[in-house]
Amino acid sequence: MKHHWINYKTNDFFDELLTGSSNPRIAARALVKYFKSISSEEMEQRASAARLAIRDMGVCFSLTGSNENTDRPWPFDIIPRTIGLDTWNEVALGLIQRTKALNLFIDDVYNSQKILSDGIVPADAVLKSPNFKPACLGTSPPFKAWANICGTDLVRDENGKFLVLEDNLRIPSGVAYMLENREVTKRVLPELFRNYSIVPVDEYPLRLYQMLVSLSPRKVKRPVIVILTPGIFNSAYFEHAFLAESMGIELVEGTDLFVGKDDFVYMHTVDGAIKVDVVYRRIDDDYLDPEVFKSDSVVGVPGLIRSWKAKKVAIANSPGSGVADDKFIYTFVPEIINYYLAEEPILPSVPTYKCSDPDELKIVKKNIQNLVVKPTDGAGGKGLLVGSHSTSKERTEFKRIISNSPRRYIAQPIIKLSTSPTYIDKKVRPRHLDLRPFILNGAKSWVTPGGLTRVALKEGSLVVNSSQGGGSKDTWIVEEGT
Amino acid sequence: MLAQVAGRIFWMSRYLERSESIARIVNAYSQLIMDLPRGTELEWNTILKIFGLEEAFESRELYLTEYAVIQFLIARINNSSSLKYSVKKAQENARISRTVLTEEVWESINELQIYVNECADRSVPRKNRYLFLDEVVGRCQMVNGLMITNQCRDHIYRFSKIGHLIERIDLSLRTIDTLSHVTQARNHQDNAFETLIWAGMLRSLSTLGMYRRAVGPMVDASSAINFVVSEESLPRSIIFCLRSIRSAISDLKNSNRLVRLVDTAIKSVTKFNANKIRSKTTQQSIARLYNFTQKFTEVATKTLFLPK
Repeated sequence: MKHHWINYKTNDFFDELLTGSSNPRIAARALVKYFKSISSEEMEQRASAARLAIRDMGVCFSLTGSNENTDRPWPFDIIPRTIGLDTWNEVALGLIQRTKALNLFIDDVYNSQKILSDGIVPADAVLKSPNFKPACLGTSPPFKAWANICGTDLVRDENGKFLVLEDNLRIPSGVAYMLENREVTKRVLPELFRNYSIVPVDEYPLRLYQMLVSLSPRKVKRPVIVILTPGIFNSAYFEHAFLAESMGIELVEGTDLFVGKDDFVYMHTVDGAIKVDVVYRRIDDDYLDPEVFKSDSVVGVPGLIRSWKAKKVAIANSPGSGVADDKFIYTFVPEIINYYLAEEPILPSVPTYKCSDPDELKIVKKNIQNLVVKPTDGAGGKGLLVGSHSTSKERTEFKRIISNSPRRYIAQPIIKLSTSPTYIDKKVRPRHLDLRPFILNGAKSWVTPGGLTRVALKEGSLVVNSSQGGGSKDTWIVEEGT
Repeated sequence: MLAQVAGRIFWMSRYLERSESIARIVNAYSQLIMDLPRGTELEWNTILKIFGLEEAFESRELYLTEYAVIQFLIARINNSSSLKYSVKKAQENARISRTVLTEEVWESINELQIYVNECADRSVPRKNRYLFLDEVVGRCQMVNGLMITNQCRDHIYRFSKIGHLIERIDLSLRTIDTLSHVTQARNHQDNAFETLIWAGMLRSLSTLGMYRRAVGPMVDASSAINFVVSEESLPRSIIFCLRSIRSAISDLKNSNRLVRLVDTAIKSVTKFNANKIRSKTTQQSIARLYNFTQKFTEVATKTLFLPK
């Protein structure tokens, strides 16, 4: 049997573990040495131990759009991805800067709308967006922190530079998998942790809890905090349960809550009704409160928005936060940072063409084979066109679609996403990946050390979503020189 | 504790208890079949009667063979009283309440479900059956043990306990009822047969040894039934279960109706006498107890588990 780690080529991408000349990067030295030194049998044993651990721990994700129990074991690659601590610290500062500015933007949009009247961001684009919720006008949550939990997707280009691919300010998911990935790695590769100084990730639930406490309208020692889930059939249910368990708080569904005549939110318990201070909701805006948004929602809580606007309950993330993670607004983020903070962005965005701009639309149509065209309101890697991986028929079709509704599309050059060694079919091969760190904004701001690394398991593929054949890796922020 | 979660814990525990009971009863029954002398064979439908499954079986299966019955009882997912189904429901309820369960409890239940899913089908033949059923009982016991040793005596513990106890009463009753009909239908003089049957029941409840020490080595119908119904010191006896439910619900708000129900049931059990098993009053008290487990679940659902 040939060894699992031979002929690994980084090609012309930035590789997370190896340099262009195939030497391990400083942060990855001990790791690469270890995986090269073990036998192929050993490698296979570790991989199956990981599969078994994931099965027994019940780590799963489910495919949406079905009422069946469609749980799948979480696809996990055992070779961690490493990033040096110094590199990471700079990224973390950039993330805090970015989400702070976006929060100020949301607060402005729902209040004085100065950035619109100053013409920095076109008013039309904001006020006509489906993500703009008029019901939220005239409100400001504690610390002006609207998006309390953000999941910002980062990629690295061929030079290893971190770029922001998108901001997820509504109900980003994946953090439980970040934590479980570390648990699995600890079970499967315990000896590696001896040679490394890896920043632990497990304080996330505590940080999240403290952030949620800081939002409570009642200043008591232990306010009542709940996670509101749409239910077991939601694709992120595993995470909702995981977080509730880690924080020791109740996981509730819409039917567990009600808004009283006094406008406070209560939950039904076996001991009667109990007042709720903070709702960490994992339900989309549209389904949150049938009195204000979709009236046929069965997962929401009638009156929740009323209670929130009366400041009798805090909601994280605030309703309406989605107005800032529209992919069209994304194109203005550098200006937004500049406008509110008078600073230059620490983290660059991916250069982006707005199809709504006639000149830029022309460029997009002309160069479509070198671009990724994305809908501004899409998520989960759906409804997009990767120019280089498309047929000419698909390209013609897309040109027609974007000409018809240009406001709904943006285009970005195809980034040469970084790769990392990934164990596939008994061989270590390069696969593309991204990174989703989580940023908490309340009384204080905090960034996860690393985040969730998602990896496209198919050769050459750039789609990392688990619903579309993506996997994940443990992400190590490593003190270099250890 | 959330009202809906309390209900899920109750059902999770009922299904776990049911899984364990199915495993115990099928195991005991399989052994009993081998012990019975030629000419006194028990029909395979007796075990179906215990679970109230005679009709369901007949509507789906052609022949009343050992293989078909055992498969129906342990490996059929579409039979809502099968082992596989019960374990699946226990896991589903655990999964949606995993925030309130300890990690070990959740992992044990999850592993139990994986194990049953993988092994039930090939455990229908006798050679694999005993090991499989023993393993299921062991895994259920592990969950019980984890609850007893690790869980705070809080609502979670309380509702889990109540679920187990209600299910235990229900199945003990069914077993006693079915077996007494079977033995009655036989020749009254057939003592060997009667002894085997009731010893089998005691074995299925892990109670045979204790019965011998408390009552003596001879197993007869009325002593065995009295022991399982009225022995105050036996944790699986019906009276013990009822008293435990009574103490578990006494700390709850909103439990007046349940307390009344349990008190009535206790009163009727204290008057129970298996020597007159064929008498009208005894049959009535069995019927009342059946009624009790159903009524209790209904009232608990209405007053405690459903958000108003």
